[in-house]
Amino acid sequence: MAAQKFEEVLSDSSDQVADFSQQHRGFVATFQHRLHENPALVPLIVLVISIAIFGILLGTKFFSAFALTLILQQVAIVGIVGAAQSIVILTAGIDLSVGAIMVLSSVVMGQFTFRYGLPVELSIICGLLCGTICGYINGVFVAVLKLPPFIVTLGMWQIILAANFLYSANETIRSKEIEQNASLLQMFGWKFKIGADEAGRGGATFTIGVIFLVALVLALAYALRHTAWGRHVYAVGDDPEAAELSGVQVKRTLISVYTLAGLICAFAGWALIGRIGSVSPTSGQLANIESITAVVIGGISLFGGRGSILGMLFGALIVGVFTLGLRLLGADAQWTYLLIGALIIGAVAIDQWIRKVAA
Amino acid sequence: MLDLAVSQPSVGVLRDQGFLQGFGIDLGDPNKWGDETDPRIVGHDVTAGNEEGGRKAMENLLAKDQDINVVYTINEPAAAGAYEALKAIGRENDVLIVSVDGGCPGVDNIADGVIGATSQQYPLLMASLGIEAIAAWAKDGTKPAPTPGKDFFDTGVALVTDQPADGVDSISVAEGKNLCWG
Repeated sequence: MAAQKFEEVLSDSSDQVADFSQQHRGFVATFQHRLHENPALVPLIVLVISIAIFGILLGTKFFSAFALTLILQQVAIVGIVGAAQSIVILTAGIDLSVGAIMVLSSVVMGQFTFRYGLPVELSIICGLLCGTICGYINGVFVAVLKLPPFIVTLGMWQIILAANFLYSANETIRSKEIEQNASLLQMFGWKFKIGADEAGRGGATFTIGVIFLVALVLALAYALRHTAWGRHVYAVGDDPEAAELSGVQVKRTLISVYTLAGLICAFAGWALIGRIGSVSPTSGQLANIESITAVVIGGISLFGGRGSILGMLFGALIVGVFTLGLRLLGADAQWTYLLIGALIIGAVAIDQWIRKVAA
Repeated sequence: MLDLAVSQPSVGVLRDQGFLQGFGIDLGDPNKWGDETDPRIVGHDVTAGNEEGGRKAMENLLAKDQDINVVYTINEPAAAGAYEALKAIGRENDVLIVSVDGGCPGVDNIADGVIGATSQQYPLLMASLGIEAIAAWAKDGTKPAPTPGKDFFDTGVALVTDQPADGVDSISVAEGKNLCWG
């Protein structure tokens, strides 16, 4: 019997095992790969460049401790709300009710103190609870009833805002009254200065609100990257079915995310009182759109599962830098909106490009 | 100058330009704010007519020039926000904030020294006079005539302040408090 010789041809073939490593990436591909690994890098680069450009154009008027820390104060509220928006968007959801939850919580804190005469600490806890419950309701509708997050939070936005106006009778609680009777409500506005002159002008100014924002973002960044809960949030956002099959409790994760977002919004409500001094039911009307803007410019994918919360902070700062910079250049406020619109589209285009990377 | 919105609605433009006209400032186009060239105007910004917007707009203008001494605001919530921004840099006592509307929280803020003066309007009077005019027209077809010397029917306005200036008619905060609304 003749030996089978089918395999003789193999002697000429490649003996390498399947190899997927790319030895020689071009500069652009390497850069693209870096961006893919660090989604906060793009907004960071844009932020540094925009600060540099406005710094060159405006000199010390813009590039001063006073102006740069002013931007931090101006974005503090949007940044805190943006942190809530970020974790929701990471699950491929969206929360249109963030601004309404913020305002209702601040109204509860104010009215419980002034209408019912509760101790201010207790009113603040009630306000934080109110925000948490609103978030929990969102979470149950999204996770258990499986309604689309856009629809649920669109409805909740209207419901909470209407409840806010009905409950408060659109009454403002004035700054002076709060200062005299319940100054703890204004805690987030307490500030300290470094390097101001004797008249209190110039110098770096930090408020408790700004410090809270930075601490919150760092804490969430750690939790999202290094805890099981955080990895579950990314997994649910990337592919809920795959996450479910790998043993992630998708419903519980979603509810926890929306509830936490509600609590963060309530803190934003507290911070809002610190910033504007008074309790005003008409504030924060655009907080949902502004927070989504910060998230998108910050490079977090609206399709979920990708992005970094630090990027959101950079995104919020980019908007702040453009707003103040353009105003100092004497541009009509419309130009700010136009440029921010361009930034949003640019950010999404870059996101799509980064997604195409061969990981 | 802390105005209402970038779309320049007529209520915001008329209040802004009327204020500047009172100072004898060249208005440029009176249907538009922001085109004046007078160097005494540091700048215009928009507030959306609330505290949050008032604070941010005031901060933006203070970044431009920290020596601002007079602030016009579209309404009293914006004025309250502007005051917070001035307080943050310790200048709340040497800057004069003026406003328009005359709502009760606004008049209280004059008593507390947050706002220097506000131009008080009377929406309830506007409503009752409006209904009376409709009733008169329905009865015998009489149309309301413009107030003599003006091209509109004037429902009245009064300046509320506790620091009256010579040559400017004004009413006290106590009187303003009796007439306020909202």
